[in-house]
Amino acid sequence: MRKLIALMLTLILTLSAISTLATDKALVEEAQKLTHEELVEKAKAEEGTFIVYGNTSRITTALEQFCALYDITGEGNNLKDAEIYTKLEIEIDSNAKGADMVMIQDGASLEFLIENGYLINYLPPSVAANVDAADQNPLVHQFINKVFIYNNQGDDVPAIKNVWELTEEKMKGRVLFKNPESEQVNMNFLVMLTNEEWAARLAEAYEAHFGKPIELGEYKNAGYMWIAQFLSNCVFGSSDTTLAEEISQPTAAGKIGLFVLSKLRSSSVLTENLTVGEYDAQKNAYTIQPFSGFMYPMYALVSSGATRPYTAMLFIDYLMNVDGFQPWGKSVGAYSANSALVPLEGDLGIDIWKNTLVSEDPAYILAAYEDVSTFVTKYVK
Amino acid sequence: MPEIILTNVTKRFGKFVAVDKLNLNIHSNEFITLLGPSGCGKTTTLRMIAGLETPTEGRIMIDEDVVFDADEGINVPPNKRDVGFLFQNYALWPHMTVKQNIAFGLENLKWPKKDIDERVDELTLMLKIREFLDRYPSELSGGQQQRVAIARTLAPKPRVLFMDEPLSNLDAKLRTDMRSELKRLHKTTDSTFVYVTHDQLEAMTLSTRICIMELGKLMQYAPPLEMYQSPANLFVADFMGNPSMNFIEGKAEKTDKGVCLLSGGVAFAFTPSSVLDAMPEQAVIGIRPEHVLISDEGGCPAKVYSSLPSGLETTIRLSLGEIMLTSVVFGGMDFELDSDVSFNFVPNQAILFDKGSGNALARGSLQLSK
Amino acid sequence: METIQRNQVKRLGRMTHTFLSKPANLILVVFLVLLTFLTLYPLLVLIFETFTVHSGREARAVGLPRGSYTDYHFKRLLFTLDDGGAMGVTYSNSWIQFYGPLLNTLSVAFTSSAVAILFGGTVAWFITRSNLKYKKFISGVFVFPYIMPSWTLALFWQSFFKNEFIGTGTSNGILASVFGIFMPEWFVYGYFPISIVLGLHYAPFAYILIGGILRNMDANLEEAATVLKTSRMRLLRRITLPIIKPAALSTFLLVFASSISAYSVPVFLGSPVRYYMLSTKMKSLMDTYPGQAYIIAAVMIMFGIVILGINQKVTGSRKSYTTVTGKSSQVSLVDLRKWNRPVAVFLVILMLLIAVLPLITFAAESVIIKAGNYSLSNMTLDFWIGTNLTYLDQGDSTGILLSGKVWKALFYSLALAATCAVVAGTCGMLVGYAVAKKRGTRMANAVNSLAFFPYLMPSLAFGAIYLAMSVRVSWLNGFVLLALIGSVKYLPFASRSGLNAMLQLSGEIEEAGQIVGIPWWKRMTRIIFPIQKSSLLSGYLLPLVSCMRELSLFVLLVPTSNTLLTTMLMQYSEKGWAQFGSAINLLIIIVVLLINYLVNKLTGASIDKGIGG
Repeated sequence: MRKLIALMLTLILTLSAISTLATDKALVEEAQKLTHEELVEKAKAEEGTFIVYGNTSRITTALEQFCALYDITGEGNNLKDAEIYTKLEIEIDSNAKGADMVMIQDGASLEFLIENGYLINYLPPSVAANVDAADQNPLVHQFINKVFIYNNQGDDVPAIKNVWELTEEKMKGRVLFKNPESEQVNMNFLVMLTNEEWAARLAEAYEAHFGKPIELGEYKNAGYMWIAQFLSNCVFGSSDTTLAEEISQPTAAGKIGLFVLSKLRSSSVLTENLTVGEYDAQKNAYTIQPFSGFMYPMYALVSSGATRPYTAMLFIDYLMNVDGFQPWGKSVGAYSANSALVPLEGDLGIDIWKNTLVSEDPAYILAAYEDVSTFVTKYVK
Repeated sequence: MPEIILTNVTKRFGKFVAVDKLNLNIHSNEFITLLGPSGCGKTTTLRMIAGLETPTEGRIMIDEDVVFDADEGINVPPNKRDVGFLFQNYALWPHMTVKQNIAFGLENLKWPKKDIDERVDELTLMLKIREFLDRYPSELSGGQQQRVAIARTLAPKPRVLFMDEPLSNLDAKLRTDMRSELKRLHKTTDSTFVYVTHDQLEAMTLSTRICIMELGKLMQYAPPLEMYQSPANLFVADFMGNPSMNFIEGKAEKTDKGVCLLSGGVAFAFTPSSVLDAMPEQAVIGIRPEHVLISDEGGCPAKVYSSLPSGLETTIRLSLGEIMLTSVVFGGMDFELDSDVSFNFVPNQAILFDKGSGNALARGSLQLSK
Repeated sequence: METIQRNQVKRLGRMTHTFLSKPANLILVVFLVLLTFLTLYPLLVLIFETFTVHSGREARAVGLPRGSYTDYHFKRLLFTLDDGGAMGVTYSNSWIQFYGPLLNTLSVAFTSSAVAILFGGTVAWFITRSNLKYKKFISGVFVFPYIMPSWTLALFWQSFFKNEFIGTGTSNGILASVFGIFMPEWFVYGYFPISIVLGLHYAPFAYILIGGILRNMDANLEEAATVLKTSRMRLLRRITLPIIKPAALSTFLLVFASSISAYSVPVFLGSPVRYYMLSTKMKSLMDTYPGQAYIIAAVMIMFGIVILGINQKVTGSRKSYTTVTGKSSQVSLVDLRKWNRPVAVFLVILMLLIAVLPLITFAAESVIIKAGNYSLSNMTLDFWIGTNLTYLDQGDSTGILLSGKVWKALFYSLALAATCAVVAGTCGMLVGYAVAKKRGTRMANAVNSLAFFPYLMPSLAFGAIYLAMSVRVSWLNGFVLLALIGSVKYLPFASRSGLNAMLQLSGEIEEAGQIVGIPWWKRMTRIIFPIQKSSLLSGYLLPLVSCMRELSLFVLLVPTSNTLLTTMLMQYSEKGWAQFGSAINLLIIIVVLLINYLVNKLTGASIDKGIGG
């Protein structure tokens, strides 16, 4: 009896949620046609605190600048991706006041929210021309890369040229990686390695390194095999920031990690002890076979539960341009999807990175997640 | 002045029956004692009348008001029954002074301040605790605390005063003093007193009537002397009196004079002074120690088993074959152990009981059969 | 016919009126309804959720739309034992996600309970029954590990013992870098330290409960044996131990239940070496496969219920021990003679290590710039009072004492804690009063059990359920939601101390007031409360302190991580902002200790009395 009532309640709530969604989607579509000034006017006319959920700590800085510029009260919250997803759903379902705008990673989970109308896409007309078609819907704000970085001190520097080196006996306990079970994008990366393309390239790289064709045995493909052996050699850290700090210590000689490049910006990281990947200046590329790491997009969208949708859209517009991107752009490892913004001095452009890093394919990830994550669990245990 | 009537009052705790179909009638201005061993239900009964405990069945009336009726669903709360309750442990409020303790109830009844002060003065004077008005209970002796408790209870002039073993925490001498104070208090306050105790001497000396209980049942309800002289059953006969009554137990046989009882190899003859309806199979004859007279001439022979002189009286145990009898001799006499004496029973002071039901059957004279 | 029916109705009406006019009955009825809704309804929601498909990954994995019914979660979590392949059953999904962690949880729970009782009980004996030196210091500091958040000891353990040869093996903690001592991995992470830390955290429980019994134990009992020339050891074994057995068992059950639901300690000391417990697994599953996470929550709650049942059977119906008019019993102390000094010094050092050293460590961690370097040149007060710290690119741009965010969180935390304390404390007192008055009746037993139940629900699971509930009830969010769950969660302590306080009071004290017609509320405020003030206030103090340092209960329900000091701390720790994290940690501990001290000094209330000593 209770189940029936609860079921009905959930149904009613979902229905009512959907009914309110329709208005916002139309609203956003209409807003695409506004000029910048009109958008600013409408944004300022809105009431209440502007609330943002972001996967990144620098969102608060960006928000502060934005609020100062337009004289708006805003509140920025830095949450983990999984938390944002859970919170968002619950807030919208229960019609509670929550985020107006969201900056989030993990495209696979994003699919569901967009499908069900929780998040609405907005493409600022000011940057539409400069953003790749593939990155427009859902709108990518920036790309973040996690690359192989090693400690260059001591005698046994792990300057690898081929990812299969990491699966060797001698690397056991020397590889640092954030536990994929507590970091979705890491898990997504591992899932991607099992698709046709990467499995093939890994098989090639195997032969290149060991000099003989790969023997899969029980493994489904080269991707699975690499994952299993890689994870067995890994030591898991709790956060990329801590990993970066620890691996930069002199006592960490001989270790190599796969983590966010932009963590190098932290003052407690001793960057002089670290070297990124294997950089070939002539080719202007990183040459670890078959990849130097992976990258994933950070999306920016309007929440369907927004009480200040125009402000949300204005903020997205702000973020996609120079001023709004500045909190990220001033450090290494952040790449705007807006090609008009040049990468930082000393860093490579996103187009170059795209060649040597594994990217997310949300469709494949959703299909293969179950299998691969179960597989991964065994090696993370 | 109130009359308290209990009709078929029963109290059950789960399966355990604490009070079993009690019928009691208390007239105004009486000093009733509920007497009995621990667990007999006397405190429970007291609390039920006061309203601190709810009976399972029955009806209670105070002064023509029904204060409890199980069938009608009536249950008047204690504060509306206009009663006073004196607790065994006094229950003085430790964080209030003596004056505050006594006045608290009156303040609550919205008495004007002048009246409250007057009443407090009156009571503390009467109970001789005037100089302790500003002290806290922990600073007083047991007897003083007792009197403060009495003052507090009497303050609102309740029509009935309940007392739950109030003297049991006092030492022996103080207890005797307080007994006389209570008896005088009964006269001066002109209220009805209902008193609970396990001490039969206390009950005897204080009450107008005693209600003796055992295992939740009423055993006898009578004035003290009547209860002493004519106990209704074995339990009452044994409970009352110190030293306790002598009991001679055995198989009974009807004779033309009365009853012949064979016990411990000795034959006793009982001659009833009233008509004996039923003939018990197993009988018990009871006779009080003071009715076992030790005399020099005549009588039956016995040996002195023990002799305990207290100054006022001497308690002697006599052995007669296998039978033991207790005798009390007044005055300061002492007897040698194992000496021979002879004794007689005072006529018409023996009681015949039916062993099975315990009921007293008849009064009569006891003699040894030759 | 008519009149009989009307009489019946009248009678029923009168009986109900009489019944409810007694405050104790009214309270019991109200709380029975309230508690049933607040504890049993969430349970039903939980069970409902274990059969529901949630969104995202889960929906894909199950292959059914969101909201539909499924038994997938059960099958996957509990019955998937065959996909370990060549590696065996311990690599099967169910073992990895459930049975393995279950085994770990049980072993840790047993060990930590044993540690708590041994340590707490032994110190209790020394304090109450011997002439140990420095008693005041030891007993004063002993409660610290309980007042401090449980992760304090865990974080301290980690930063103190970590070294480059274990775990991520890249930095050295204090012991390694300053003294050059490198502890092995099993000592620093996993089963051993988790059990020790939890045991130490809950040792105060044992100390208070067992100490309470020992303190009131009639010295005559031991003296009688001594006169019969019983050896000291025998005396301990055959007389003292049996007397404290009920308290020891009670402690064991309480600590066992708490250990099962502990979250922050296993996260810090277990996850680095992949030693998972049910609580850590539940949290990680909550993000991806909530259905299975809810099953784990249900399992943990089941444990709680079983333990509650055993506890009830063991302690049985409480007999009243009236002590308000009691006399103090003679206490004769055991003379420790030549053992006195060594034992006392040992305990003092131990207490310093457990209670004071962590504070120093956090202070140190909060002022160093680059990790691992404890020289003065590497120290700064920036993280406390610095301004314009954007160069750090971390959580805040000012030191925590100047940060608006931090002060806001502090006030919010205090307001929340105060609200919970008042609500829980008052309800606890009322429940204690009603249960004491009507003890032995079915309704009193029911309310008593229900009031204690929330304690046995793991905080994380409780939070998850209330989250699910908040979706269905529109006004249940924000501060109201947090205050509600906080009050319900700490009601057990308040009602325990309320019950103890009331049991100590002889019923006659109140009856004396009843007879002269003092109304109930006046009896409570003018008689009962003043007499048992310090015991009753302890029922307010415990929720206050517990709320201030509570994390797992609120973590799923706060609007943002910046709402409460504790959630802020967790976020900072996870991000690796060590200095800010340590500073906030120290701030929380100082605030909590301060509150405890102030309330103690002002009202005589203390944690001891709260737990039931």
